[in-house]
Amino acid sequence: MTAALRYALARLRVRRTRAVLAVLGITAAGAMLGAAVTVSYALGTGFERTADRADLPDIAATFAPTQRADVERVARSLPNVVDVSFRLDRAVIFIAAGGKTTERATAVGIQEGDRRGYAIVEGRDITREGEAVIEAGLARAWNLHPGDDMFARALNVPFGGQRLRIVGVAVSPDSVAYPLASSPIFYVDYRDVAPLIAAVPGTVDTALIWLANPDRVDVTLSQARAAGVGVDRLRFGTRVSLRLLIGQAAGLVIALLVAFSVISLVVAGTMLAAASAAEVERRVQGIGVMRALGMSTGQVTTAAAVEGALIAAPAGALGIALGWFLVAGPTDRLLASLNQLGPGLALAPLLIGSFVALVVIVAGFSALPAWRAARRPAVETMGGGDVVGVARTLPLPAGPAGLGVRLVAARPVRTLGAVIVLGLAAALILLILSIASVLRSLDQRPQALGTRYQLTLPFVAPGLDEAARATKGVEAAATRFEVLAADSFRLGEPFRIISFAADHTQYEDPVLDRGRHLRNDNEAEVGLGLATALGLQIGGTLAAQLPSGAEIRFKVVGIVRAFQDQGRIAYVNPKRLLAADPSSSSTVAVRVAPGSTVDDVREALRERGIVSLDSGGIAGQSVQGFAARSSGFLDVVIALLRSIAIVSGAVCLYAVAQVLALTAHERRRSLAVVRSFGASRVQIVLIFAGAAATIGALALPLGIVVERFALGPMVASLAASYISLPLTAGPIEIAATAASLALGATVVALLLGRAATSRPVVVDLTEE
Amino acid sequence: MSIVRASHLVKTHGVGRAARRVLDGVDLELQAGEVVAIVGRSGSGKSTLLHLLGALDRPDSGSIELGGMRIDTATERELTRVRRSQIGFVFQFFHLLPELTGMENVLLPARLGGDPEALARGKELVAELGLTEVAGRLPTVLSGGEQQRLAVARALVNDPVLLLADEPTGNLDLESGTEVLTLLRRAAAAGKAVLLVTHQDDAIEIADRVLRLSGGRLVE
Repeated sequence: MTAALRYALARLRVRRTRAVLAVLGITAAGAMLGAAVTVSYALGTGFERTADRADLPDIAATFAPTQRADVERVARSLPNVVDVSFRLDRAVIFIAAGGKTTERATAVGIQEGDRRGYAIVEGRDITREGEAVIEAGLARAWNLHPGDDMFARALNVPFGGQRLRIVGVAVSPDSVAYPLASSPIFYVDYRDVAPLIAAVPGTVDTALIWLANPDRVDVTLSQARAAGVGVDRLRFGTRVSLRLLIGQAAGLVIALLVAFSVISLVVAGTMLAAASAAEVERRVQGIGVMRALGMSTGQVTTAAAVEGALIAAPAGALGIALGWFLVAGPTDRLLASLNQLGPGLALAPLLIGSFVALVVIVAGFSALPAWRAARRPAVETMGGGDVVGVARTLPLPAGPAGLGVRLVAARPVRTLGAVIVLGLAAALILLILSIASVLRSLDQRPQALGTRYQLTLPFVAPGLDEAARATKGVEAAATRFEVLAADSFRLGEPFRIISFAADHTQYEDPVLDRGRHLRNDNEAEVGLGLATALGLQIGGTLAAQLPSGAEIRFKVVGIVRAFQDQGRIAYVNPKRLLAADPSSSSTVAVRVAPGSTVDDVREALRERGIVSLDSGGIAGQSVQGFAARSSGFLDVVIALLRSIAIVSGAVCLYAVAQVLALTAHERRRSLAVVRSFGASRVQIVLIFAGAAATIGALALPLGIVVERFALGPMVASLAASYISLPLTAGPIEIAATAASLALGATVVALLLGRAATSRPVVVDLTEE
Repeated sequence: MSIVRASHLVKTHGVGRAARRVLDGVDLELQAGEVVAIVGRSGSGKSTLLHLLGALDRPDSGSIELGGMRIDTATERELTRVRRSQIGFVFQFFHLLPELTGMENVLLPARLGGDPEALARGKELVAELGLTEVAGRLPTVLSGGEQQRLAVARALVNDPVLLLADEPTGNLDLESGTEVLTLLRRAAAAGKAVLLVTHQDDAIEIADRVLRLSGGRLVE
C-alpha cells in the first residue's frame, strides 16, 4: 500500500464527520446526476428506441379500401423499397373486456407473413384467427393480460361481432397510448377484421413501406405520389412526420425535461468540483506538514485524489442509483403514455459512465488545490494554516443571530461557495416551478400560445360564423381553415397551413420573430420551426403540396414563434388555399367579448343549437384534449418534475447543512464559551439560524438572477426555439422557493443547535 | 455567607483501563468576598473541579450547592440559567469571540440574558477598566492583557455571585497579570466568591486561602 493511500485512509478514519458530510454531498449531487441522465436519455431517445424495436416503417400510406394485389404491385415497383406490409384499419369499433367498454376502438387487421410495425412487450404475436394483440395503453388502463377475452363489434354493423382471445400486448410509437389517445388499438388477423367491419374480401387501406435507404424518403414519396395516381384518398406519413406528430403531444414537455436535465448535469458537476476543492483547501496546513516531513508534491496530490475517490465511489454509486430510482418510475410512465419503451439496460452504460465521471471530477478537483498547495514552500503552507477566520468589524447586531451572521462572514470564501451552490440549486427549483407553471398555462390557457379566441365551433354549416357573431357575448367569429401539406421540394417535411376568413392576427397571433404580417393572397407567415426545417428566409418561397395533389406557392414575408406543431405551420389568406383544395377542414373561431365569460357564451351558443368546444391549450392542440386532461398525462409530468425538485431540494439542504456543520465543528469552542455564559439551546439555534439566513438571503437573489437571465432562457431556447417560452419565475414561485429555503434552513439550524447543545459544555471547551 | 458548598465530589475521566479518577471525594466551601486559589500539578484535576463548580460538567457523585441550589442534579435548562446569572468565567486563553469587538464580547452574556441593567453595567466596567478606547476593536488586534481584562469584564457583566478563573494570568506578562489579579481582588471586595486555578506565585499571593489538589483531594 502506498504512503498516499495510507494517508488518505488515515484521514478518512480520523475525519469521520467531514467524510460523512462529503458523502452526503456527493450522494446528493450523484442523485442529481443520475436523475438528469435517466430523464434526458430515456425521454430523448424514446421514439427512436421504440421505433427500432417495433420495426416502424419508413412510410405509412393510407388510402380508400383497395384490393391488396393492385396496391402491392404499385408499391413493390418503387425503387428503394425493400418491403411492404398491408393492413385494414377501422376505427369506431365497440369493444368490451375486463368489465369495461368503449365505442372508439380501432381494429387493425394484419396479414400472415407481413412485417408488423409493433413490438410485443407481453405474451406473443397473433398466429391464427380469433386472437388479438392489444396496445399496452389499453392493457394498462383496463388491466388486461394475455389469456383474457375481449368482444369486438363494428358500430355500423348491426349484428354479429367477434369474441377474441388476447394473446399479446404491443407498443408502437405511431400514436400516443390510450387513454391519452381516445381510441385504443387492437391488432387481429385480417380474416377476423374483414368480416367484423363487413369489408370487401381482399381489400386493404394501409401500406407500411420499408426503404433500403431511409435518407431518400423524399424521392420515394415523390415517386409514390406519381405512381399512386388513381388510388383514391391516398395520404402519406413518414417516420419523421410521425415523430413530429407525437412531438405535438409531448415534444415540448420532453424537450423541457431534457433541457432541464442537461442544465442539472452542469450544476451537479459544478457542485462536485466546488465541494471537492473546498474540502482540500480547508486543510492546506496539513499539506504543509506532510511536505515538511518529506512527502513529494506527487504524493500529496495523489493522496488528495485517492481520498476524494474513496469518498466519491460509494457515495456516487449510491447517489446515482438514488437519482435513477426517484425518476425512473415517472419517466417510464411518461414514456408509456406516449407508447414508448423505457431504456432498460441501455441506460446502464450511461449511468456507469456518469459514475466514472463523478469519481474523476471529485478526485480531480480534490487533487488540484492539493497540488497547488504542495507546490508552495512548506513553511508558507503551514503558516497559511488551517481554517482561521477573517473576522471583520460589521455593523450588525451582536446577539445570537448576529453572531451567526458573523460566523459565516468570517469565512467569506466558503460562504461564497455555499451561496453559489445554494443559489444554483435554488435557480433549479425556480426553473422547475416555472416549467410546471408554463405547462399548466399552456394546457389551460390557449392565450398563452398566442391564441386569441376562446371557443371553437367544430361542425361548420353555412352561415355559422354569422350566427356566432350574432350571439350575445361574442366579440368576433371567423371561419378557420386548416390543411396538412408537405413541402414540394422535401416531401418528408409535413406542415400545417392555417387560414382565417379574417385578419388571422385577431385570432392567432404568435410573436413575430422577423419580417411582417401577410398583406395579400400571395404571401405567407411561417413558423420558426418550419423556417428552420426548410431553410426559409424572408423573401423566400414556400411551395406547398396539398392532399388534393395541387401545389401552391407563397412568398414568405414573416416568421413567427408559434407553438402549434412545433412551429411547422404557415398562415396564409384563404382564397388560393380553398381554390387549390376545397376540402380543407374548417371550424369557426369565436372570441368572447370583454365582460362576458366563456361559460356564458357557450351557454348562449347552446341555446341557439350551436355546439362549442374550448379552443384548448397544449393538450387540446396536440392530442385529444379531453383525453389528455383526463388521462393524467400532465400529472405524470408534474410527478417527474417533483422528483427532480426533491433532489434539488436535497442539494439545497446539503449545501446549508455542510457549511453550518463545518462552522459548528470548527467553532465548537466558541460556541461552548457562549454556552458557558448561559446561552440556552434556543439561543444556540438562533446563532445557526442567523448563519443559515445569511447564506439563504444571499443565495435566493442569486438563484432568481441565474434563473431569470441564464437558466430560464437557456432551457426555453433548448426546449423550443420555435416559440418564446416565458420560463421566468414569478412571485409565487419565488415565494415558494424562499419558503422552502427558510424551512430547510430552520430544520438545519434546529438539528445543529440540538447537536451542539447535547454535549456537556466542558467537552467542547477543553478539546484541543 | 456561603456561596458554594461542594461535598464528596468524585469525577473520573476515560473508560476501561484508561479510566482515571481525578477527583476523589473533594469537599469545598467558598464564602462571599473570599478569594481561593487552587494549586496542583498538571492533570491533578484543578480545571475539572472548576468546571464542576461552574456547572459546565457534572460530577459522578457528590453534591454541589450554589447559592443554596443543588446544581449537580439540576436540569440542563436550570444549569443554563445558573451559568447566565450566577457564574462568571475567566479562561487562560481569554476565549474572546474573534468576530465580535471587545465591547460586544463584554456585552454578549448581558444580551443572552436580555438584562438592560447588565448592558449598562458592561459599559461601565469597560470604562472603569480603561478599555473604552480599544473596546471597539476586534480581539485579534488587542494585547493579551487587554483581552484578559475584557474577559474579566465579560465574566462580571451579569453580576455573578461566583467568579471562576482558570489560569487567568498564565498567558500574560507580569504587568498585565498584575492588572488582572487586581481586578479579581476587586471583584471579591465587591462581595463575590472568587476561585482561581493557578500555577503563578503572584496569583497565589492575592488569595485568602490556598488549597492544593493532590491525589484527587483538596488539602490546605
